[in-house]
Order: sequence, then C-alpha cells, then structure tokens
Amino acid sequence: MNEQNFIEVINLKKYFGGGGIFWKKPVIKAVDGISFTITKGETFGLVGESGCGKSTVARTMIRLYNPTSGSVIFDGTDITKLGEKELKPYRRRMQMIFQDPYASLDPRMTVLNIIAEPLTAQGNYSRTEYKDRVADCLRMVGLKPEHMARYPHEFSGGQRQRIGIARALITQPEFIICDEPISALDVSIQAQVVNMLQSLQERLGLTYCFIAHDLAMVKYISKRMGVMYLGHLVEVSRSEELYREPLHPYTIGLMRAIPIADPRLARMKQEISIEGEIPSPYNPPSGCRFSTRCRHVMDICREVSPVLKEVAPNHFVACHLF
Amino acid sequence: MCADKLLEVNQLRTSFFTFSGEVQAVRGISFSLMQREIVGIVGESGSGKSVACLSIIRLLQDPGKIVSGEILFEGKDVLKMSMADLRRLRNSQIGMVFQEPMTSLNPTMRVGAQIVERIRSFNKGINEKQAREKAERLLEIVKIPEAKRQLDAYPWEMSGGMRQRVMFAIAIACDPKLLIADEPTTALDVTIQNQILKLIRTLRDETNASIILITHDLGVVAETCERVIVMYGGMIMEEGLVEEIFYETGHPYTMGLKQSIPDVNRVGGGRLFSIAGSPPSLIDPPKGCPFAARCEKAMKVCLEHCPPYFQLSPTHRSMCWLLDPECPSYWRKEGLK
Repeated sequence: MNEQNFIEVINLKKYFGGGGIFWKKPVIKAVDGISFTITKGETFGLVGESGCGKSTVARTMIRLYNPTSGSVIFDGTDITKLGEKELKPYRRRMQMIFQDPYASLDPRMTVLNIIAEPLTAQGNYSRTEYKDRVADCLRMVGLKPEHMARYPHEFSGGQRQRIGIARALITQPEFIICDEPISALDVSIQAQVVNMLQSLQERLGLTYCFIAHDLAMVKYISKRMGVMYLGHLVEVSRSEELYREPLHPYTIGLMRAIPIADPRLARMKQEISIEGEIPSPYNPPSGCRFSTRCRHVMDICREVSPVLKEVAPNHFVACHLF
Repeated sequence: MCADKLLEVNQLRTSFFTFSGEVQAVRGISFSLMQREIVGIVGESGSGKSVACLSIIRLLQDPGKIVSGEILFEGKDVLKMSMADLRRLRNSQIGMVFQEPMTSLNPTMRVGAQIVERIRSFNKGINEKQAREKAERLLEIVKIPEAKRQLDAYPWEMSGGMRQRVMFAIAIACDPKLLIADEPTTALDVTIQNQILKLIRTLRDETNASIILITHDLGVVAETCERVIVMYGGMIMEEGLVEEIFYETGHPYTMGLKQSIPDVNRVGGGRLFSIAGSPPSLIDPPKGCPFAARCEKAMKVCLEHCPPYFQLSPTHRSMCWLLDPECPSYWRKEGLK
C-alpha cells in the first residue's frame, strides 16, 4: 500500500480443535482468512466483540500460536516459516502487553525478576547489566527504580499495568501488541496509561497493534483500525473515517451502541441497535457471518462470503452492499 | 414530594474491620430515591458505591458492618428490622442484579428451576406448574427468545447477555419496588450492553419499580439515568439531575471523570486529560476533602477541612470549597471549567 509495510498479514487462518483419537473434535475457525498491513510507527486498532478472534489474530501475529495457514511478513521476513531457533532474534523485536494486570504478573517473583525475564530468555546479560536496564525501564513507565525489590501485590492495578509495560519494553522491541491493556482499569487510570503508551511511542518510535472493545479509546489512540466479526475482518479504514461514516452494517451498529457521555445527544440518538447475539463459532452462518443479525440482508449474503473491497481510498469493506 | 419517597438513606457509615484496621468504605452518605426513578451511582472501584447498596439490603458479610445511620424504606428503618421482616423485604420489595452473570447463577440448576425457586420462596401458595408459567412470562418480559425452551437450559449454555437477562428475570420475579443493579453491563460487549440498558428502561415502565444503577461508566449513566450520584472515597461528591451533572458540573472530580473519557465525536489528536495519582486509602482517610490530594484546584482549606454540601439548585448539590461564597468567583470559574 504505502511506503513501508512493517507488518503484513496475508490471508491468516487459525483453527482450533480437530484431531482427536476416537472421534473428530469440532473445529473452531477462530481466524478465517484475514489480511491487513501495519506501517512503521503507526497504531493499528483492532476491535470487535468478545469471541470474534481479535486476540487470536494478535497472538498468531507474533507466533504465540502457529497459524493454520497464511503468512505474517515482519519487516520483510515471513516469520510463519521460521523455526524456533531462527525466530529467536525476531521474538526480541515484538512484545506483548496483556489485559489483566492481576493475572499476568507472577505473584511470587519480584518486580526485578518479572521485568528481566525476557532478557534472561534472550541470554547473555550479566546481573548488573540487566539491573540497570530494568531501572531504566521502570523510570520510563513512571515508576521508581527502588520498586524493583517489591512484589506485584504491593502495587495498584494501574501500577501493575505499568510493570507489564516495562516488561514489554526491556528487550527494546519495535512492535508491541497491546491486548486490551486498559479494560481492567478505572477510568481515571485508563487515561494515564493511554497517555503513557502514546508518549512512549513518540519517544521510542514503536509500532502498536491495539486491541480493545472500548471503541472510543481505540479511535482515540489509533490512526487506522480494523473491525472484526466472527473471525472475519469486515471493515478497515482510517479511524476518523470509520467513525464519521462507517459503511458495514455491523460497524454502524457497533458505533451506535457506544454509550455517549452526553445526555442530550444520547436522547437524540437514533435507535439502530444490533439485535440478537453473536452466533456460535462452532457453527458459523454460511456466507456473510453477519447475515443472521444484519438489517440489510439479501439472498446473496447467505450464500457467498463477501471479500474486502476498497470502496474509497484506503477504506476497505467486506459487504455485498458495496 | 415526601409521599413519593421510596428510600431514604441518612448519614450511613459502613466499615470493614480488618486486621490492618478499620476500612471506612462508606463515610456518612445521605440520599433519597423517589418512586419510578432511575438513579445512577457513579464512582471508581473502591469509592464505596457497591458497599452502600449492599448496606441498603443488609447483605454485608462479616468484617463489614454498618456503623451508624438510618435507612428508611417506605418509612421503615431497615437497620432495626428483625431477620424475618428483613427476609420479607428482600423477598418481595427489593430485587438485585450483580455484576458477574457468570458467578451469580447456580451452574448445576436449570435456569427455570432457579426462577421457580425464587417465585415459590415468597409465594408459598403457588404450585410448581403455575410458577413455571410465571417463569416463562418473566423470561418473555426480559426478551429471551424461545422462553419456554430456555427454561430448561443450564446457565453455562447461555451467553453472558442471556445470563444477565435471567438475573433480571429473577430480580423482578417478586414485582419489587426497588431494583438494584450493580454494574450489570460491565462484563458485556457494547452491543449487548446497549440491549440490556434498553431493557432496564422498559422494565421501569413495565414494573413501575425504582432502579439504582451502579456503574463506573458515565456514558451508561447519560443514556439511562434521570438522576446521578457521584461517589469518591466513600462520600457523595455531587448529586443532581443528569443534565445538571453533565452540563453544569459542580465538582472538579466529576469534571475530571468527564474529561478522561475520549469523545467519539471529536476529531482525535492531543492528550487525554487524566487525573494524576490514585484514590485515597480508606483505612486512614484524609482529613479534608477526599479528592484534595488529586485535585488541581485544591486550596489550603481543602486539605484541612471537609467541605459541606452547597446547594446549586433544589436538585443539585456538590461538596467542594470552590462553591463557598467566600471563594473568589474567578477561582470558581477556573476550577469548574
């Protein structure tokens, strides 16, 4: 697309299940043919309801899961074809921040050991060397080097998330996946963490893939974003455009569902809500995955799965209406 | 007015007596609730909003204790009731919906059986068959498709949104006069949240119950509630009609909350406003205003003395020294901008 595609995801698929000794286990197509690109230094947002496969995409992108098919080109190299050993230098360059700051830190390890663990995994650092780097990282995320000797339970939720971010920064990565990094935090703390992530990006030139279900926050932090529904990408566009004029019926419904913190506007809002619930991924609808809940459903939607089409410059939609 | 008052809470104090000391979760709050009203209680975690509501129906567990205060439900003091009266109250007057739809239903019982159990607990005369019919009607009210078939489903066969609907069905089974919903949509996706909020509004119209909605999301409040109570550090910071809270904000904390949520309609860029620091410890609560340590507009008096309530309109009050007549008016303007 444009000058440098830092990360390119091509027709990525990840299926779970299958196999089994006596009978075949059902297959879940968690991610079913997704393609998008992320340029260097940008933040790409990925939104969707729970169970739509957004976390699976993220984990497959950095090979925490091995994809069923498709490829992920990271800085010119297809990392899905690499073996563990060849992958190791790439592991350093991509890191992840997890959702739950209470579950993602080992309660029996000190902050020093938690943050230094990625370095230990990379090997060959002396203890003093990595102590210095941990101290640097702590300062970067707004904590103090003296916090190194403490345990996670001594910190509040926001501070723990900062520790998680420091752990991601220690290997000096270029690409960080933020998997719902703020959804477990309070509103006033969310803003602190988001601001910090942004200033880190500016200072260190990081590229983010930001996953969340809070659409307002994703719009705020990312330049471009993709909307997922049941393992398919239904719309990709610049964030502002996506909010100003969403095209896919699912995106429209999703936008309308965001509660607006303004009582007058909220009362004026047209009621176009999505009825029903997300279908089971074991048995997804044929054709367009959204066809069971869509207001504009046509016959073709139930038969043919739509592909992503560029309907306006850099605005891709997968829908038969366009 | 007085005749319409359903609930009145006066100077309620609730504490948890732990090994590390007395945690003063609720520190002297007073508010009242009219008939058929939807009131939102907003606050961050640890602000005392859930504890306040658990106190109303005396559901607090052991280290927690109501220290002082008065809770009048239709004129009768809940705190002085005998266990039998209390059970009658919980059975037939107040319904409650909790945050976690995953853990608040019994996974080993069919949904229908759980609703029937609830119906028969307060209506002993009803037989199994009638109770089942009523349960089916309740599931229809909360808009569960194929209500009859779903009666035989187990909670784990349902999605989060469906389970939350079942919780609402159980809560309204006794035609309560008061429905307390504690973060009912926090664990749900936006599209499902939207459906549940709509359900809350229709439930009010259909059952004529008053509703207390506890949430941390100002957006949810703006869409659903008529009146708002903002809590922080165990105290009510500000109380007023929704319009007053959003358009004539009278407290820097509410202001900060409002500014920390990104505005979907605004074109992006810039930094989000964030409130520095974190909420105060309630074991040793600050002497002055609980928000003083994080407030950009804090004055000397804020750290020393807790401000009284200043009435901004008959329905709107706020606890902030900026509203004191002695405070220079330009400070007030600056502070509440």
